[in-house]
Amino acid sequence: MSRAGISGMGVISALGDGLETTRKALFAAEPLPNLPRRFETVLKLPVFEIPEPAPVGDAGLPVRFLLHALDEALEGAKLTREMLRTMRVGIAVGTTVACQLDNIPCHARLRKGDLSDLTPALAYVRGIPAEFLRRHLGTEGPAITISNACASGSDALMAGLEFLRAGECDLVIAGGCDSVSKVVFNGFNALRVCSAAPCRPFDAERSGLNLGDAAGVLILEDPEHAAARGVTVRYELSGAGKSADGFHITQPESSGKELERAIRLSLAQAELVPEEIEFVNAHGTGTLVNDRAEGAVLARVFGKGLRYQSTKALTGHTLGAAGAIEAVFTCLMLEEGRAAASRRCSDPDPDVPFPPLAENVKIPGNAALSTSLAFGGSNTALAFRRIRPGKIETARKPLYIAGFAFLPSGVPEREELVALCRKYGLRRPDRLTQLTLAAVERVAPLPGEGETDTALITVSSCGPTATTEKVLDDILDYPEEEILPTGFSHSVINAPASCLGAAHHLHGPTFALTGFEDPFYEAAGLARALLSGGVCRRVLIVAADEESLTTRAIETLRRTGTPAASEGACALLLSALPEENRLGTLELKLEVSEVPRLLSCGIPESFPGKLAAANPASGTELSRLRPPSWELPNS
Amino acid sequence: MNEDVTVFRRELKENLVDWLQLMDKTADDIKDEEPIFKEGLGLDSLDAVEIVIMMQRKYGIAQTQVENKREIFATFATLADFIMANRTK
Repeated sequence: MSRAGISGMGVISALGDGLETTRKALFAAEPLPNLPRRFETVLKLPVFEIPEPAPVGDAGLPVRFLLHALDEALEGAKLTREMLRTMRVGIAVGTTVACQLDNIPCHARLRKGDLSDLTPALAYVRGIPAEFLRRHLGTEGPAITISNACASGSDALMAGLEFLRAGECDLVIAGGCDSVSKVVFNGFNALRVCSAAPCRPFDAERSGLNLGDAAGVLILEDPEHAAARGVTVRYELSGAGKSADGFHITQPESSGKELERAIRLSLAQAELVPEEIEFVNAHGTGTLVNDRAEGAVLARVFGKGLRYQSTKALTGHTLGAAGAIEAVFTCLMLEEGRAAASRRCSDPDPDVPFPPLAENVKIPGNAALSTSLAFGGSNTALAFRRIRPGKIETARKPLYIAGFAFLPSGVPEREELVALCRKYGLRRPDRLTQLTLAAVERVAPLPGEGETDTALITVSSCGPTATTEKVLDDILDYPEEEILPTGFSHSVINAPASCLGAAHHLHGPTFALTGFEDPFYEAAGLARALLSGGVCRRVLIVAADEESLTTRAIETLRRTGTPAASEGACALLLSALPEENRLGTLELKLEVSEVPRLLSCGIPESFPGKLAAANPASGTELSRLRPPSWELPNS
Repeated sequence: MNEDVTVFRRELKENLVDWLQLMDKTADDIKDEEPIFKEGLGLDSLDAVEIVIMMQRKYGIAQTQVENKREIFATFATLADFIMANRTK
């Protein structure tokens, strides 16, 4: 249907505020990280903090960075809010910090049972980035927030590409945002991956990463759609490839074969061959393991003549924003006809098969790739190329329910959990992962072992909040050097997806979605786009929320709609082809209407019954809920 | 093996299961002479960090005392002996 032409971009990072500053700085500047100023710490680990933009309502810092980049992108694309309201606009944003209630003083009160000031909880609920933008702009299309750890920003762009290819939207605002928080800072230190010096990606002396603040936004739309307003599109996001190692919750699989597959998928979708790629903006965090594994894969796919660089020496690792700002950097380099040198790699690691670019070089500016690798082995590659004429022939396809399961309350019991852990070799899944695993176990048929064409979308409003609370307890109760690493690695929103992928050896694309305005419905919309575009054959959606101090506090803020159940899980296996489930062949239609009562994650309480009573001839529908409203109980 | 050692090893096995929240293991599954990592108990590098921190919290052993000393983590028995000999609480 539509190509994902890039009609506008916006960026803010340690490299600069805005496109023009960034364009120059990419080839010359070398900003240095400093010790954190925004929070107190005894750890001597430098970060790339940037000045805070002006407050916007109660938006948290990552969303403020995002709004800053958004303004620039909309201006570049000659778009006003009024114009957006006449279009089918999709929003896809990657983040990590903005979708975790990580307010330490708030937790200190909650754990004492003090609910007197829930202002931070309210700001968190209202501040999930994609939903925030949808309200801010007054648009009505899909709004998905993806928290796939360090690949989130790239994954948001991939979702945008697929929304356009499937004809779900006329235009997609896609990007990523993050800021360095105390929790993330302590968490990455606990994982022992932070460097005490400015990071040196691909250098023999590298000793880890530096964290950084950033946001990046790209406006994606068909070039003809942009041309109607007099905007000339020069480059497009023409391919995205995504795969999962299906191996471990944090560690990458050592052969890198799934990263290689993601790169090859992106090239195939973009109709490019490796020889046409002029440079790769690598993930290149500066950790020992990442750079070596990534270098080996780049050598395998492209040969040792490839030009590549990491821009993380200039910005730090900006987590959920990284994929988005690096997409902007990649496009700026293509526009400039120059590939930037990889900075602070004066003595390339001999164990990386070939060194990154030592100096800026001229390129024709036709095609380049950007890669992102995340916790839990989630790999994404994005291919950008000079715009070509022509249309993409895909059409929205029907969705069929191939299998489903709802988890009754009080389930799973410990016995079942121990059996599941033994069966899948999982040692200590958090509660949310337990619910996820148990729901999937009840899906018939189960996705097959080692599958590459089943995508996985996990959905949660609050994520593994009980685990996050343990990390916050650690921060409150122990010195910073004594924060436990696994608590942090299990507290990320995509932890259940990583565990599920490892348990079932799923290698297809994985997305972890979060939000409070019906993320389950949004997941079904994303699934339809992925299936329509032929990205995968089936999509497994698993929605779950766990009970915690946080979820209980949040429910007290709900002004409209009856409270959601405190814990629950639901799994749906969707297919582009009519597959028989135990009810026969059943089509799922997505509608927009209000349904008052919820299971967790916006799953309408009536949905299980509706499914059970569905008539194969007419199928069943999933309705989008009217967004709930929230306020402080005493206001 | 004297009684103190037996009692301590039992305590440490239970602690390991608790610290690392090993859902698929009990204290009885941990064998004295078995390697802790990989083919033995199957623990990984993050578990090692976790054990080091818990040794500091529970037994007062500074993290610097165990840094780069892989031999301590060879088997469950070597770990238990090291903690017994160096604990300050």
